[in-house]
Amino acid sequence: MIRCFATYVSAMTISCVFAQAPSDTLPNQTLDEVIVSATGANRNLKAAEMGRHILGKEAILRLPVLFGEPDVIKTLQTLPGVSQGVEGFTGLYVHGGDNDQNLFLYNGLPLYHVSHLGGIFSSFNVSTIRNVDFFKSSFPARFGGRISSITNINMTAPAFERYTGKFTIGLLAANGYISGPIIRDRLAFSAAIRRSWIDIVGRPALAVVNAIQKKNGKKTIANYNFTDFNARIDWKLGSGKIYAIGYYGHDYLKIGDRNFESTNEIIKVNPGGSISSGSDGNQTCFFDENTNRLSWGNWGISLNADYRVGQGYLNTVAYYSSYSSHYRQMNEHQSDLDDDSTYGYTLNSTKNAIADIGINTQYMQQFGETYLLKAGIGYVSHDYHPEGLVNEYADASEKWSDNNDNPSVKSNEIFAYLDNLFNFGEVASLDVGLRFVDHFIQGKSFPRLEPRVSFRINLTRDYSLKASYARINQFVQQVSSNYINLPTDLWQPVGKGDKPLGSDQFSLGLYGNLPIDMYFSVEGWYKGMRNLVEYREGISSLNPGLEWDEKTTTGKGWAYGVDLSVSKEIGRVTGSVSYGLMWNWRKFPELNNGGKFPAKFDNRNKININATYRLNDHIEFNAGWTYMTGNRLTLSLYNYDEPGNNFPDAPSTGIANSGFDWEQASGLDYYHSRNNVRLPAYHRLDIGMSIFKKLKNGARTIWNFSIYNAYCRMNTMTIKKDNFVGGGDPNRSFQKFSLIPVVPSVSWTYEF
Amino acid sequence: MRNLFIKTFAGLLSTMMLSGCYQDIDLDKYKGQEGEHLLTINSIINPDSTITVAATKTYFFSDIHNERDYVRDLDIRIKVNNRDCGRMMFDPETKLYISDIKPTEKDTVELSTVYLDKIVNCKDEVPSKVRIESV
Repeated sequence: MIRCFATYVSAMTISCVFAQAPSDTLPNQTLDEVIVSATGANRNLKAAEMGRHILGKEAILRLPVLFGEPDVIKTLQTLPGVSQGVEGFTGLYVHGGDNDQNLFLYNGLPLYHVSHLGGIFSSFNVSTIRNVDFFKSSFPARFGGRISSITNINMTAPAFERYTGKFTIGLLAANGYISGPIIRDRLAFSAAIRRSWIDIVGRPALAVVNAIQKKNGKKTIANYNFTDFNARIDWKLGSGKIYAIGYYGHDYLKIGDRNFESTNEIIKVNPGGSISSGSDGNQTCFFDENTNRLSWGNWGISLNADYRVGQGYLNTVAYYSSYSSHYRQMNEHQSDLDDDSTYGYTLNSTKNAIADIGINTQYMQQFGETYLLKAGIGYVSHDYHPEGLVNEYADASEKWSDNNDNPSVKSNEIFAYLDNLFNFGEVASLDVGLRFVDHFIQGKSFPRLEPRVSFRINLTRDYSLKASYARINQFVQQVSSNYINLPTDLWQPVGKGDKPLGSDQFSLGLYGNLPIDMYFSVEGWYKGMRNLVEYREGISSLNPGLEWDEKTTTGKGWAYGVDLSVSKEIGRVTGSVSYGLMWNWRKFPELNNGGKFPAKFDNRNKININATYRLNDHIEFNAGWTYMTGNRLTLSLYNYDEPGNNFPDAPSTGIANSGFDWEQASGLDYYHSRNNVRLPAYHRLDIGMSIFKKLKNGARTIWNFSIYNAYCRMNTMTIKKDNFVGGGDPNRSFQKFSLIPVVPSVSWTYEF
Repeated sequence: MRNLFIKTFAGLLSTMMLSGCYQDIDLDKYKGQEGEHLLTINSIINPDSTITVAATKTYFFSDIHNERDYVRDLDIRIKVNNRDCGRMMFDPETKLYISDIKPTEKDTVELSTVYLDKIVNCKDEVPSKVRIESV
């Protein structure tokens, strides 16, 4: 008889002891990869960690989402304490933090700005994912660099035995995944590719639109596509394995219009009835074209080695990760196509890039049943290009440019950590960690110590109480001048006059098992943030006269709240109900007259209800309802009169002295404070159905139908002021803008 | 069945395309929260022009506002380069506060008054003249 003894130490590790093997036991038997999974109830009751969620691939696939494309970030948005930002976009605002404060690791490979289509899809192909490990309260000492959350995305290991694959066709994209052995039981690979087909489907429609517009001398320019590619190769060695991962994700967007002379093109009816077209020779041909191009994406490779050293376990990762975004706005014009000297252009472009090279190694050893040691060291070299600006103008008479040299800012980072996990059986557990990090940039050094502590004590067999504290620092921030977090927002390292962003988070929670396989958790938390960065008043990214770190100002933030969750993970009906209560504040000496103001995503209440009902082996129903107190917006509610005709020496621009009836003008905006208006509450219902069918060859197909926003709630995205002047008295009103109505979608998947 | 499917699909598509839109929203609940009838002192100061001030009250954007709400009884004082230059006079004809002071380039002009028992002041530097070389 073989006795297998497994102790839960983390999501990744088990210890097995084989004793008293009988004489017929095969020696040196190598087992396949073993995945040990525990329900959230067990994990939450027995581990010291807080605010951790492990989402399996199935949980992500079940959730009905916009356009039917399963999405990691949108699944995380349903968790308590996580705000989604603007509807439809993959924003992630965790415990009052900002969107740039989330670390995304793709099997150890750090990625920046992980979204496609302006944020509507995240860059992670769910086909390649085994699970997602998400931390929002207590951070293990092995993680650092972002103050609000850690999302560790674990890839599915390739299949060593036989080929498997999956192909999905959805409304906006197609997706293919294949995995199999290269050398059976030794070397295996997996690869996945996903590409949007909006450009292919939209091209004929655009051609029709442009054919109609041609007689008016207009042409619409539009093109968008995204591609992501993932690959992995695993090589099993005697006491470990080596695997390499490659990631590529890229988006390209081009929109614009072209005006041109069309009246010179005349249709002639020739003698004999034939028709020809040509120029009448009397008109001047011209064109005027405006284009906006935006491209962004990540690519990276990593090499991982896992192997046993004595009684311990060593893991080493080396990687290269590159991110860039490039926005280019161009106007080209030529007043006479027969005369090249009439050509001119205006070009504005912004470029932002980061390249990271890193290596880290971790040693882990279990001592008996009580103590687990994790220790590691690492080094990262960052090469930032915070802001490359190009502003050019040229015509026949002059050429002018005002560019910066896209300055490179290099920094180096070293870190070391020690994580001690003590497990006192069922009674209590303690995780004490310390991380040291030092960041070297522009001749300065920022050494920081980051203590991490979490403690759990069981009150009864079914209830446990936990407390945690985590300090964490961040050396790069993405400064946003928009309401929506976009790829044009610039990633900037710690500037000359700045200090690294840091946070301290305290949490206290109660966890328990309920009847009928349900469990609950209640976590209260407080997070203080220092050295947050925002643009100064009246300054945006496109100011070539200022250095990139002269445009920003620093302040602090604090947020606090309670996360409540009740879940049921076993049975025909599974689901969860979660509630988050939050206050979220900011204070900057140079903004809002130095007074405190609420953050953009100060969503006081948030409720999520998700449920899955498995009717039988073939049909499954899913539903999700979300309610959230509205986001905040800076809006001028009051106006004041501008100088009228009676004002001497008023500028001739605007309405003053222009003969315009100033009584009909809306006046000048008066801004009282930042984020002074709260948008109406946000809520929506999503429903979905999946139909599974097994084929004779062992493969299966999945039809997925889903309806996003089933009762068509037109949630407010933003509010604008409208001053309608049409004959009578002016009609001034506030108008809300809503974007996403009910969106049905369908996808078909073939798995083998 | 096929027709029903096509009609349903077309209906859903039309709903999607038409419903992304602007609608009026009532924000009257914010009235008073930011302080009504705030005083604004508005002045355009050019080199070699007399200093003139319009003193009006703010109004809620969506309210009917057909005429300016002038504040006529203010005691507005002018300082140029920290030197007291006296009071401004209200002109009933233009409904503006006027003075005979002409600042020059780089002068610092400060206006101050008391409104509802609170001191209101503003300060700025007169910009340099801009030479128009050609039109």
